[in-house]
Amino acid sequence: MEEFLNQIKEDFKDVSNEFETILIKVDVKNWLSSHEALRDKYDLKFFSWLSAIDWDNDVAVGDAPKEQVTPSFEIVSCLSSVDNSNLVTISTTISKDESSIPSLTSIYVGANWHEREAFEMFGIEFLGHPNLIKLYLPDGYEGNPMLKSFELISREVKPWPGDVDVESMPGDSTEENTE
Amino acid sequence: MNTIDPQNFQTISEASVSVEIETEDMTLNIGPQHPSTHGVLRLVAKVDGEKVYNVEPVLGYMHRGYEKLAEVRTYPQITTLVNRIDWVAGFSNEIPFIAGAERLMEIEVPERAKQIRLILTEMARICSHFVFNGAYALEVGALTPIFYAMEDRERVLDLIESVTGGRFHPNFNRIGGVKPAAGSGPTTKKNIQDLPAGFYRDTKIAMDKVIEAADKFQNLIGGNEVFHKRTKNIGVLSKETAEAYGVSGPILRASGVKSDLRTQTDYLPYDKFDFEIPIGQNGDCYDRWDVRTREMIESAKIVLQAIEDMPSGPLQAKVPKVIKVPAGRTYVRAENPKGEMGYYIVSEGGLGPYRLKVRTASFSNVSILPVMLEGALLPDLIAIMGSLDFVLGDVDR
Amino acid sequence: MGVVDKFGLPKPISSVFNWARSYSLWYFQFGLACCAIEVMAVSGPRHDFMRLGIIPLPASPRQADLMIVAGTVTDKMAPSVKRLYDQMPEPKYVISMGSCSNSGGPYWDSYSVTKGVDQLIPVDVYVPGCPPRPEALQEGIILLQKKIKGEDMKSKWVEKQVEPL
Repeated sequence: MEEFLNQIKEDFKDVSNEFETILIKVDVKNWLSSHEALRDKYDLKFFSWLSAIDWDNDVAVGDAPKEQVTPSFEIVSCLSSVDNSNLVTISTTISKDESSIPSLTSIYVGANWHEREAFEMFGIEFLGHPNLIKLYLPDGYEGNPMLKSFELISREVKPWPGDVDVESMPGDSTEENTE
Repeated sequence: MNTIDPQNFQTISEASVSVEIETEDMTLNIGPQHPSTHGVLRLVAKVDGEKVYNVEPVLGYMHRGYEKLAEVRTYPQITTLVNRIDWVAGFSNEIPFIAGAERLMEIEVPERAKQIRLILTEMARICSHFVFNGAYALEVGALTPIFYAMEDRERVLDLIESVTGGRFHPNFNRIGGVKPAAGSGPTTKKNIQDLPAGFYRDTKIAMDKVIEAADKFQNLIGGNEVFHKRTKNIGVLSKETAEAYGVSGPILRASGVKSDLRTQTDYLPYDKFDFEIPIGQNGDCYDRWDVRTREMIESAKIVLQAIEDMPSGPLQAKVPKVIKVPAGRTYVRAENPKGEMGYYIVSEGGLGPYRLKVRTASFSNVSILPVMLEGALLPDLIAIMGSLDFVLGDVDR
Repeated sequence: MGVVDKFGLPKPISSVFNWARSYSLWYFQFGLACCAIEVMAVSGPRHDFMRLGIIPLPASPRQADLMIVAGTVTDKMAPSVKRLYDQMPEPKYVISMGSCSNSGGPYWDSYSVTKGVDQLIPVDVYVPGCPPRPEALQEGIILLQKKIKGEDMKSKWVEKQVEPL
């Protein structure tokens, strides 16, 4: 694992290893080429998953991030190898206004359904994807549910039923901490 | 009207019909309610006679929105929600999530708690493979094995229930260890209940019966010629295709890859025990069934070794009453009965995660269906789908 | 059934009919989620529902008279549930099993879950639990049998204005 980490650090600039997870941050224009390099040179042929994170200060559900962030989408993908326990996560940041990124289906065939899910949950467009249509939600569904600005209507109408508990919930603005 | 000329009888009998019969292909909709789709999966298949030449799965009939719900719940509440993802082996879904939260909080879990988690995970694996054996035989055409499977599974579910209180949605893990067991006797605040009385004896009986049952299946089902004809050389999957699509678990092992996350990662102490990893040769449906049946025997052996030397100690590490996980991100993966399951937790220091990504095994396993089912016959479609052993809660989350 | 409409059936005959119907329920396989595994366990050798008369398990709604909705009903699946209910011939009964189909369950605040199957079809018996124990489901079936035995033919067999499917 140490040797693997050192080799990765030589090729990529922004590599961190916190909590036993290697994270490589790349630019959008190197997105495809870095995946190709990892697949060919480091033998990371197993495509695990791809998803996105919505960074925003103004959240409708849950807690806001601790410090101020610039609103953006962060796309994260995870590759690993079946012969040993090497695993990396790669992430890149794109802006919310023109949210599009090249698709990975030319390098890893398995990225097809993961990108479709990210498309319908966040509204991110993947350029070059063969079949970018909805995966989970029914036809005619409006909105992208995983955005932080998407409200859960049931929660607006009805408060949390177990209100007698001692612990506070994420998204409550109360500062009291019971002991 | 053609008249028959008596002088040309010989030539008429030699004449052959050379008309090509044009048939249109049919679009067949299988599901969402269908006895053999393991839940509500819908397949839109274009068939030409009995041959399928294009299959498109339509998902989303069980989509409940786990990732959004996780943002409005605290960590212990997410534990109760998460074991309904793979609803056949409930206990094993909680483990990677709890391990991730403990890694971010940098808590050391006591040895006794880890061993109890390992025993219950292996029991959940046995239960899941029992359901697979019974249901797969039912789809291929045998009606009896499912009753044997259900009876033997009840014994193992009784054991899980005696420790945790729930049959397959236990909610037994807590951050830092496990909950004090649901044994018998009066509870006072000072009494910490541990494993119930008679657990050691009952487990030995149950695991011996599991090994007997697996042998019985290998004879009854695996030695049956009809089963061989229906599953050998059907649905062959190569290693490269499996890797590119992210297929993991017994399906990958049946294609000849010796990869098991129990020995490659250390989320639970599997290195203390001695077990084999069964692999297959061809990658067809028979190998997938065979790998899972042999895994049942290996799991029973692990449990028998684990109950012999249980370390003593506390059941849960010291954690604060209101759990706040510090900021950071981590990805923990585990070997579930269906494949590789992982949780990517992005935490900003609140009561709940900022973003929780659930990586499930069946989602990637089902994505190879369009590739594997090209050119298959309709009955083979059922046999191939059954051998992938997916559960819709895993696919749709 | 004009006679039944106007005069009703005498008690002995209607009790024979009710007794026959309650002990030969044909249950239509409609397992959606985790509760379906509990239904499989109830049909196994240990807790057996075949002794209550529920054999065989037809896969088609046209031959069934009991539908056990076991599992979460999502908005994408809801039109199918309604359509399958309409395809069942009268008299038909519905048991809602588990808290997901009773009222939405642990996913009450999700964006894609129907809060209870009784928003789509009329339900006779609710069985609570997550998942309910096999004994609880058997109690639900026995309650339904008691309900059928006390039924009045006149109210049940009135002509309904339902479009054929």
